[in-house]
Amino acid sequence: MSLRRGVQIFLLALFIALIALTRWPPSPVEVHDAFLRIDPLLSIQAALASRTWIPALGYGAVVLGLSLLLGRFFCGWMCPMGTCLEVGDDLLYGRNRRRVWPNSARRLRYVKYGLLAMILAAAVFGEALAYLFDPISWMTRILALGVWPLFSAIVNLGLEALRPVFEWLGWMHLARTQFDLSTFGFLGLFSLLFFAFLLGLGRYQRRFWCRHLCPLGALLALFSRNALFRRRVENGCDKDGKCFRTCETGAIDPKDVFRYDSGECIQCGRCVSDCHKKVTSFSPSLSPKGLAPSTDLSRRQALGWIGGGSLTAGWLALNPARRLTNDATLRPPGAIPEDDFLATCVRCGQCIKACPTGCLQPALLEAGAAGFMTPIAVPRLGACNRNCNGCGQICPTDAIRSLSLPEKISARMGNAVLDPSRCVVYERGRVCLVCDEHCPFGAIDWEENERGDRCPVVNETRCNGCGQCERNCPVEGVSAIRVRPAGQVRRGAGESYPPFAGLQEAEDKKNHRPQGYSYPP
Amino acid sequence: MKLTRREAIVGMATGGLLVGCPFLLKANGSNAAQTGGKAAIPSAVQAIRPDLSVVTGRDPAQNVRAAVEALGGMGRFVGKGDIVTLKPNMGFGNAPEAATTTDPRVVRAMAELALNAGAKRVLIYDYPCNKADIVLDVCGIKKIMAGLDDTFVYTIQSAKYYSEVTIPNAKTLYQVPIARDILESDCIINMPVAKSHGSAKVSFGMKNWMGIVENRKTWHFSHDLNTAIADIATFVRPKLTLLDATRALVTGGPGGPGEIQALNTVVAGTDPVALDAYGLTLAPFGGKGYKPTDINYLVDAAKRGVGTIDLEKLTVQKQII
Repeated sequence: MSLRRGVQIFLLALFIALIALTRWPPSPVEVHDAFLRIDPLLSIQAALASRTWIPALGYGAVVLGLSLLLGRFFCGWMCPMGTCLEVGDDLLYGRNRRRVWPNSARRLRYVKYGLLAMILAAAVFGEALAYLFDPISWMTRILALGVWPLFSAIVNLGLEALRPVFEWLGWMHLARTQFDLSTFGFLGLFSLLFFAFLLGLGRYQRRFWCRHLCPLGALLALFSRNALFRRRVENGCDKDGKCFRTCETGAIDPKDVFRYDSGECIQCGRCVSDCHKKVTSFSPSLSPKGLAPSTDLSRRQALGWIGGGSLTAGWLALNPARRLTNDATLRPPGAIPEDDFLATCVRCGQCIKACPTGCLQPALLEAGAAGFMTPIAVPRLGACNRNCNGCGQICPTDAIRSLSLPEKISARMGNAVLDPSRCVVYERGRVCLVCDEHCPFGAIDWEENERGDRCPVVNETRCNGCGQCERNCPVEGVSAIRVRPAGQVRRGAGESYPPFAGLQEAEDKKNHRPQGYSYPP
Repeated sequence: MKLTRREAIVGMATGGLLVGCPFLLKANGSNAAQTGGKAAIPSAVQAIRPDLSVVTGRDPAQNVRAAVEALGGMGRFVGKGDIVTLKPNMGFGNAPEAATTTDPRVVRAMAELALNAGAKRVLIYDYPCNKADIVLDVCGIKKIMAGLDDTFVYTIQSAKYYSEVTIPNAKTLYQVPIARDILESDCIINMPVAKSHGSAKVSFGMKNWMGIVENRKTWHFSHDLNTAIADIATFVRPKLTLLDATRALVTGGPGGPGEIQALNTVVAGTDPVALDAYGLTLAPFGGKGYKPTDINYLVDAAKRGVGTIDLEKLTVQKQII
């Protein structure tokens, strides 16, 4: 195994480990989103679209600066998507086997530059599109929403199969452990299918995604065109053509093997190791000899992509659904105001993975077209736990603010609204106050009706919108009590939240306890 | 009721003990002496064993030990090699101060008693209302059991751990999925915390059984809640119930916040109806307090022979330590 493959596998393992560790309570050191933070495309887009300074731009700038020296080392050595596709290519289609397209055929290379132009144009108009094409964003989603729940399901089957053994051995904890699968929804499946599609494209060329489609690759390519570390072929080359046939990205010109597209080269070093005459090398140099970078994108085409991005942004902004969903979508507590939220969220899915109750789910179209794959709160599946502020601490772009627990409770998600026509007490005279039982803020009062039933009533000033009532309402199907975003409190970065009155009241009541009890003693 | 062979054997053995076969009583007494460190109880004392034992004191663990001792010691309930199930209330992700879950010290003291009486394994579980791992982390019961061998604290929310059973004398709850760990256990000990309750008025021992069924939502939706609670009480018969009123959530239950009173009391007994009825006298639950006849499920269960609701017919032994 080469040094590069070692580094690749190590970083992929690190990436997977960081996502597996993205959970509540979060690790004290905020490293779980390291890969997202160093992704320059995401931070540039988020900063452009929200017109704010994103701290992660600093890390992105380092990666771009290093690309000026080392070329697309990120793609060849670090990118988890690149590693997965490369290994997948080797396993599925053989390392040196011929593909459907000749290895050097440029065909769709311009698409990635076009996508980059489109993303940046849309960002200028305030809309986020990068998440649809960014590899780090995709890999995070694939792992967090697709692979992780499936993996848990397989572990659950294993635990279930071994249960008699555990019981016989007396390992009762293992015998009673089942993992929660609350995040494997449509988008989990979709992200897995997308990954399978990318692997399938490997039939046409190695690293098809990296060559033709990846806009992050395009951005790094623009910075790598004149990278200091350059390929050099000495005299003595017998032009047997192995280098351009096996080049990981088809960067070497088949007509003139001394020339290569320095923007396409990912510094993998295969041309060096495969050169049987040992005349190829990479070294720092300022000589432009052999450099032949090209984006394959004419000025007219570029303008076309920019126009496309601008029009998409315009449509997303004008879409009437946007105005509807702005007021109808339940966002996680601490989400910044909706327009900024949509611009800043990179749809990585880490908050969804970390949410311990399954309250956060990826939106399909519930939050409008612009809100595709953004996190929405679905209290019916899981309420927002009052002791957790994980989503804000995990969010790599601060689309969900990192808040202290009292602040997070003040950042109310909405208000509970009771529908008496569905409630079993109002409608059937059953004995039920489950909403009151579960409300952590005592926001459900009850009034006796003429039949003597205790009917639940929401006290709005004490309601936090956490959704414990909606989650636990025994009515089948749609809950009789639902959290609506009407009472939501959303503030931008740095602004403070008005303190939530119900919290103080709840704390006062708790502190009302008499002397004589303490725990631990 | 489905009986496993073990349950049948233990049931018969216990039955034999309870009818007072002197030889076995002696054996049981010496067993207690051997494991619990207490002298064998003479059979004359057995005859005046109280129905309920109420202990008030500063140390919750000591209260539990004294309360169980007054009922005849743990050897009366737990046999050698038994799998013992404790069913505390671990329903809510609140700290012990919030009085929504059973006090961890009370649970630990009971687990230790069971182990000392020869239990092979002690299972402690509930079907929580909140997210399971948060509840286990916050309520303190898992933490306090650290270092106790053969004791397991867990939650069971997956339907895989439940079996559908038929309740023969049910009025509404004919079929119900009950945790297999309850059905297969040799000795069930119910360990509720004393709380007021919005829909059921109070949540003591009988209400605590909602934590062993898998689909309790239907109790509100398809059944009358009070009848369903009485139904399950005719089926699940704990050998011992211990009501934790170390602190009681007098109003605002079962999830709080509400008024909390530090009563420093535990109540133990074998009659679930009597115990719940007595629990009402501890504090003005729900604000004004309830009489046993105010609680519909208690009246219903008493009518169906689960236990005695009339407090005047009971012998209650009170201790202050």
